[in-house]
Amino acid sequence: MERNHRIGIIVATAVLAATVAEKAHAANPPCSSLSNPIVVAGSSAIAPFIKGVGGKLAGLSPAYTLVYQSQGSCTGVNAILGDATPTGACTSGACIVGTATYYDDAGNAQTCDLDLDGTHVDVGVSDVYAESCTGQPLPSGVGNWNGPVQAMSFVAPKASSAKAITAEEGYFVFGFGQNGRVTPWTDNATMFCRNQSSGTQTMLGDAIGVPAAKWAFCTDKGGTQGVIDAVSGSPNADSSIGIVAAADYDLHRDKLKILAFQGFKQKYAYYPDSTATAVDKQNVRDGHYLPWGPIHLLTAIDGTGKPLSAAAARFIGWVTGDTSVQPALPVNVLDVQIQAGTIPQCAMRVTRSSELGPLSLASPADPCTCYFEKIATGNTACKSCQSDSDCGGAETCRRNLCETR
Amino acid sequence: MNTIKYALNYVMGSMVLVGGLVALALTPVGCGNGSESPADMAQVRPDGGLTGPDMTALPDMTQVEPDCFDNPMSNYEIINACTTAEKIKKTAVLPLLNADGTLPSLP
Repeated sequence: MERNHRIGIIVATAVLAATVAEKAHAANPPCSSLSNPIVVAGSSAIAPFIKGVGGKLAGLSPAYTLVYQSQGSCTGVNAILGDATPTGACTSGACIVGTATYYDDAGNAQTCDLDLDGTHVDVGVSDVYAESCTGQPLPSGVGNWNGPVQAMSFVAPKASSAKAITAEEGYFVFGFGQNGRVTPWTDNATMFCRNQSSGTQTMLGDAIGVPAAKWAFCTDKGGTQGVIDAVSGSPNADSSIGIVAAADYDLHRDKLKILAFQGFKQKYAYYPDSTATAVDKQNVRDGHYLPWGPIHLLTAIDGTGKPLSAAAARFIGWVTGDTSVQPALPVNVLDVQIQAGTIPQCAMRVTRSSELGPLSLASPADPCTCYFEKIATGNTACKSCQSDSDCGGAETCRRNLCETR
Repeated sequence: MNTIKYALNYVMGSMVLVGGLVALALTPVGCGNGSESPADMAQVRPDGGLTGPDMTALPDMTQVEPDCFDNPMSNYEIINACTTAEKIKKTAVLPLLNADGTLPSLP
């Protein structure tokens, strides 16, 4: 009797566990069932943009749903480059599986299930040029669009006595570890980084001359939050160092200190902002802070250079501010970009055409330097205006601010 | 005779002084609008990348590079342009730097 009782309990427990699992799985809708899904994968840099517009797009009629899986820049690149049949069945490894994030019309993050056989990615997002991931030129059937600019940074605990790091120091710290003997970063156990799929590590690797695959002495913390937690929680403040996007540092200034960076051939080290406490990204915009690049949007293209996927064309248009895309984005794209910690292309006064390549002066057709300062800092020294006649001869009135032509 | 000697010395001395002033006036001094400087010529490190510190030859004493550049045009001038932003001068201590100032190959 007692044996039968025990068997009954075991069977009941198993049935209960299976029921709970089935209900948990059933709670996630299939991503493909969502209204007009646009599948985006890769760098976490696009996450704030998706969060900023996802709920608004879900509230349109018809609704559009951004389905997003964050994996790392080079994984996003491979999701596009490795998809030989973007409009057909998924080939092995070319599509994404598991779960993804989307936003409902209330702006709440939700989870959906990707197809068991894999879901094609409409747009791969990367912090770096695809060539930096693959070592090869971009294939002819793939197009790259440049979105807003983001900077990458070296960070230390708040209590660290370090203020700056030079490119040469970075070369020894991350290329040699503690054997590089660069004070105060002389303990491998307190060097925190990512891996070679990370756009953050790839870009900073270019800045210090250590390819991402050769960062052999630091600890891969798996993602941005892992690095933030490790650096801020490290027991040895002075020897600790990590890498994050500057936008992520901005969200955790209470826990971290950003190190000014002095690139090769530079005379001084600079913060991304004009000072250690400013939020103006002045030094990124004018070329004093070097580790930066545009967010890259990749998708399969036809012979004329147009995206094969209408969903991809729509998303890329929204991110890059193409006002011809329908439906129009129901929010101000510049505001979303700035509030996400990135810098719209129109606010940049320098430009480059390759990873950490040489800088040249930029002349945006529709400059927004003043507008960026106003939104990013809450203030601007630029004059307010209603028309060009309110501005000086060398300025035009754009977004009610006198911008230099 | 001494008067003539003094007069000649005075004239000679004046000519040297004037000549020196003229030479000084004609000497180009970094005005912030220079083009490519010697420091802009990259040196290749063992793994094919750029070297770190600019271990250039002793500077030409008639051309002094400015601390920063007004109206920058080239990459070197842009990254070293004059600015009101906070800047930090750091002298890195690099025990493993090669004697010639180049970076050693990565392990």
